[in-house]
Amino acid sequence: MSCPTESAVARFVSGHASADERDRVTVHLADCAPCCALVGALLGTRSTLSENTPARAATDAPSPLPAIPADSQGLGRYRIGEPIGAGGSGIVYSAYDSRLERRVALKMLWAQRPVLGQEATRLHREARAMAKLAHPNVVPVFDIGVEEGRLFVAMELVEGGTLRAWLAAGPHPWREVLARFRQAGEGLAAAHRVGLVHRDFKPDNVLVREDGTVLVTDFGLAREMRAGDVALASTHGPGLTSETGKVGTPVYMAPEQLRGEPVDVRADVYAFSVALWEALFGERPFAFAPPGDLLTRIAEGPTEPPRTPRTLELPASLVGALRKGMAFHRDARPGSIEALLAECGPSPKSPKAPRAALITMLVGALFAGGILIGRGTMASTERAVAVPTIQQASMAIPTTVATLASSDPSDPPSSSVLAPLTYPAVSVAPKHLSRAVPPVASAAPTAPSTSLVGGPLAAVDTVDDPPVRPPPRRGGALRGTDFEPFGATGMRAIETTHAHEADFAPCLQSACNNVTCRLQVGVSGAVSSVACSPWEGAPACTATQACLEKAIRALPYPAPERVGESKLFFAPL
Amino acid sequence: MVNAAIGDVNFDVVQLAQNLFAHVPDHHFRDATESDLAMLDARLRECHAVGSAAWPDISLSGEDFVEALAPHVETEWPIVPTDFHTADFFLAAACVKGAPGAVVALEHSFLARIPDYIARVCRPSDRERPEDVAQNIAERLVVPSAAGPARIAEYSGRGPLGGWLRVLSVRIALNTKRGKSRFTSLEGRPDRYDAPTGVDPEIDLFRLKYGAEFKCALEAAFASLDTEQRALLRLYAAGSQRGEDLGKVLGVDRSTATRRLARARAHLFAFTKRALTAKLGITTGEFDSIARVVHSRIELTLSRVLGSRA
Repeated sequence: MSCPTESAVARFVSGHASADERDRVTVHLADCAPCCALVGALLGTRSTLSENTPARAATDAPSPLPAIPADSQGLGRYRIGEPIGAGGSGIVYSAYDSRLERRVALKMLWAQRPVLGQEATRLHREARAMAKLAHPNVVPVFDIGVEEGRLFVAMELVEGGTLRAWLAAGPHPWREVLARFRQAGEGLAAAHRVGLVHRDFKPDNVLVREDGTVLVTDFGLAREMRAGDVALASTHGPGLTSETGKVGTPVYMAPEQLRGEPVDVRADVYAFSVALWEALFGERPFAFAPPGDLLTRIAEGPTEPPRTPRTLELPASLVGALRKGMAFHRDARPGSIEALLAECGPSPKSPKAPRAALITMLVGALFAGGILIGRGTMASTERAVAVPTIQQASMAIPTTVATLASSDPSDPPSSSVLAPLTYPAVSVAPKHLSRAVPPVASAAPTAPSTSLVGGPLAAVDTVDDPPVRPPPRRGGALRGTDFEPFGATGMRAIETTHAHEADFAPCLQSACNNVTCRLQVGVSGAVSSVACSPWEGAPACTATQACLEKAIRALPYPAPERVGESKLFFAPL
Repeated sequence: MVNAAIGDVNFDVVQLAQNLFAHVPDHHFRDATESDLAMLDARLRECHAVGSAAWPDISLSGEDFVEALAPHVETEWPIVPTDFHTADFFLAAACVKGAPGAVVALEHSFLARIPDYIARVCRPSDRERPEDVAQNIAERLVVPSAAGPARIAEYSGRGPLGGWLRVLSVRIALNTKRGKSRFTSLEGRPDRYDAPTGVDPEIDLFRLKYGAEFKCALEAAFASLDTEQRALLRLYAAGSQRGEDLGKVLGVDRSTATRRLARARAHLFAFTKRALTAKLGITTGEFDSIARVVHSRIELTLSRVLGSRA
């Protein structure tokens, strides 16, 4: 058997090969030493899609090369790395934001003419709208702008693939497909609430993170993209596109969009319905046709779906809802994504629920076991305590708790490990947990998914209740502008819509390369939680306590009058 | 020129699509309808336009673009895959067709990264210097040789060019190294596997007495494993020892991959033990006394055995 092609190896190594292809390559590897050496060498390097996977000293070269060479091409404050994806609208590069010192995905849109003046102003307005759009199912946009005449968008670097790739790796049970789309629908709905219409919803514009979270991307870009495309197409003669903006995949475009009329959320309802239909039935609702015929076919309604055991399983109400969503006249469609989703059937239980219950149980066990070293300083003014600490057996970080400062200044700190801190309650938990559980989990939750909150083990929070509760956030979702550069410490903090978060990486301790700290500051300016943990899969850092101490000291929050408030620490030692 | 205004599609002119089919012999979509052709033509024009916009300094005609695409087209619709990396392919096509400035752009944007790609497999202390290897790779990419056309022609646009180039670079680098080391071994360098360590007399004695048998037993044991176990052990021996890496390529989670690897190693050990006791006619008790040595040798020997059967 001949060796797999370079493309096949690249897909195999990045985990994007189809199941079939994966099996073929595996069989080949069983008896081909050169290919094994090749795959081994490639796996040892950091893949382009998961650059922030921590490297372990044991398997890496003594000084691993920076993923993005220092002399790489730059765009303003961004150093551009490898292209990690591309589509009709532009190439997406992995990039390094040298100002905030973090990796981002940088999408460069094709614009042949400089974007200036009014257009730039509109872009920035768009950026503000997107920044407001803090939703767990929307890829956070950090920055949007024009550099050297090229329009770019900086987004969170999502590890994973597109929804299309996920679907192609199937078949998946229809309930799973629906659950994924439901998440995407929630992202769309959130955008609609702030007045953004996607206009280019399709499975390629939906990313599935490695943990299964679904994120809609390219929000609000569609409009700008069209402008760019028109300009671009005009240099290649008339006809390819017109004001109707047919560049793209017409199959997901609503009739009014195909005709070039103004669109509203119901165009997204249409696109969503087509995409979900395609995902469930494995074929598109309207047969392949040039745009002219496509309109006729849409008017005739979707083709009869194939009748297989798989598709017969689908509830009639779901199919009916999708037919309605694909109605030719938009007035006949559900008026919003929420309405469409409601018609698609009752929302299944959140898949996170069992996990949350497990966390609660484990945390409860910690308490019952007396792992908490509570002291008298845990004054009744403290509201709650949480030690959401789940560790993989292989990591086995012992957890201990120290009460750090007293609410009574005359009472010395009960633990001499850390200096008196000027922050209210702080909880520390391994990073992967802080992803599973919304990091800001104060009392009085309004977000439904914060099911942990309210139990005896809810996350520590002595922060004044924020006026607006942020939506549950997942790790790494930072946005907005700097609010306090931490300068010499190398830390940066970001103002979010509702809360402040800071990432500390790498660890401040020079001997420790493994620790990251996450910190959240509530709206009132108080620290609501700090998480300090090794990267996932990395060995525990013995210097964590010291790192944490330094990290906290370096933090200029909260206001001086808060000094002396009681705090609680959970630190992996 | 296609006029694609709604309701007014001119089906007569579908030039790029027809060009494409002209270069795809026996393509079974020859009987595509005119509307199929019109859509395909629009798609090809779109790809060409996107590519031209990405590389504004490179001029490549639509016909040449399509001709370069022809060897890579899928045999099923969509002829141009949805995950097609248009801009990357455009650059590759421009290089294949010799468009002015294309190779310079490729060099600047992609070839310059080759040294980084191969840094893990080519060390400065190697016989073949990394910069020479990188130069060789770059040459084979863009310069046709007696062995065949320039290898950039093999890039199909599926997946990013950077990823493809990384794989190709590492593959060529490894082949280069393998060729050299085979040469040195012919020069009479002793097989290091048989050389005494001078550190552990027990191991040296074991190797002196049972070295050949042990290697045979290990090879037989390895051959008796199933394909996935063999692949796992080979990857492990080749240096990918992280559970998450192995899981990623097998499409399973880290713990499953780690468990399967552990099982494969346990089987290997058990089979080796069985073969060795049978061959040497020793009892299990006697074997246990050498088990420690076997255990300590198995990993090292494995990588040598697997490597030597290349």
